Amino acid sequence: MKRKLFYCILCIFPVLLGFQTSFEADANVRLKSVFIYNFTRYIDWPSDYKTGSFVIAYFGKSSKVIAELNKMALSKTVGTQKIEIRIVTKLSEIGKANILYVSPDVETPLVDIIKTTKGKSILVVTENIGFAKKGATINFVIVDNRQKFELNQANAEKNHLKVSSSLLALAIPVTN
Amino acid sequence: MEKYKLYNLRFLFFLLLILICSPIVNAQSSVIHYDAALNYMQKNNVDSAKIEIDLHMQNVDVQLDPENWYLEGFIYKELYKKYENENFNSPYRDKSLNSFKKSFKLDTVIARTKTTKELIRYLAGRFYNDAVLTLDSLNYLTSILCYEQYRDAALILDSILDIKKKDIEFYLALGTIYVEIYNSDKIKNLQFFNLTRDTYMKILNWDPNNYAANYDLGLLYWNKGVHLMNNIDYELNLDSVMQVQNYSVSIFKESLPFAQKAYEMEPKREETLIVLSGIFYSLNDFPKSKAFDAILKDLQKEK
Repeated sequence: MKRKLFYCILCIFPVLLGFQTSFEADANVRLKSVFIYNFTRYIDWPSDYKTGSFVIAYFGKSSKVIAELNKMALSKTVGTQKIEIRIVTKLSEIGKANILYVSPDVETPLVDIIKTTKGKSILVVTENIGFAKKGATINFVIVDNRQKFELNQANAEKNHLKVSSSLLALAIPVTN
Repeated sequence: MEKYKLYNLRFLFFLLLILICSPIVNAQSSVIHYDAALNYMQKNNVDSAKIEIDLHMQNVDVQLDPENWYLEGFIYKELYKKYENENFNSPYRDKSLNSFKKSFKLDTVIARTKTTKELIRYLAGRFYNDAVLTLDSLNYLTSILCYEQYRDAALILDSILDIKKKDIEFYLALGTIYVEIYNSDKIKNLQFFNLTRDTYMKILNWDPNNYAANYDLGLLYWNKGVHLMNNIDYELNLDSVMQVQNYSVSIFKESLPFAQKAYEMEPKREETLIVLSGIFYSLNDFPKSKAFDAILKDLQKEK
């Protein structure tokens, strides 16, 4: 009797077995972080920016990008410099930084951000249409479903940043 | 006690049937082995019966007689029950089913074919249950073998049976096992990605409107693309990073038609909306991703 009952119970493959429900995390976050790390390898900062920590300032609301950048900072360096991720919510908090990543949710006008970074060797990285023309050096854009980046070499030069030809070759060039 | 009486009666009935339907065996020595096997079975000595039937079946002449196959199948079924009842890969069971199948094909005696069918049904049930029990990441090969045996047997029992329904049920479950193995180590177990994909594609060849196979394929491709992106090495040069992205985008695009089909079939399934939103997000098509997010939120509010 017990055996018969056993067979009855096992007569059907469990319906749930036919379904996967494991979803991978957001892929774009890692890509942006990898891009940012790569920028540090293809751009040369003036010597006074090569001492102390290599500061990546993140301007914007808390996001998954910060977590990924922090993860990167734990295992990577820029030359001999340790990477420091600084989260800023006001322009006055930027201070001396190597990279300023401006999150797309930031409401502060770009012109004000550029004024704040003027004369400093800060690589301004944005993520809004047209920002590379308006003062940012690198601007993330979407082209053919892919994350790409525009590069304004003139803006880089203004901030005394030397961009390697390899990076220029991979970027979408933008002029003022 | 009653149960045992009933069992003994059934057992005697089977043996009686063998005696009634006994063929004229050409080779005298073979007849001796056949009779001996029968006698041993009457005495419940299945081990000696095995020796005799094995000797009997060595004679090529006897292999055209269904009765011989029937007796062999019966003896091996008893051996299975006695020694390999818990063995998912039981050779005795395989041999028993094989013998019954041969007997059934050759047989013209209606009374016996009916009994043979009952015995095949019993074995088919055991194979099916074992296919279910062994369907896991360690024993899936056994599961496939058990299922194939069940499938053969089921088609003998009912030649017009719609086996595709059972096939789909089994292969869907098998697909999730392959995914589980693939997910446990996506680099080492890369071949399981292909196995999973092929398994779901097989199902879609049988039934293009199978919701689960469409959904699972969509999710499989999407997860693979995301995994590739999430594991880009920081030390990879930008050119290679771009190449990984290109490949991932192509995978996301492959996932889309399957997820969309699943959505068309069942627009109120939350998991499909999550996958579609995710695929569009991965394709950097944020308006579409948000649109599916909104549908999902509305659906959750309804609930």
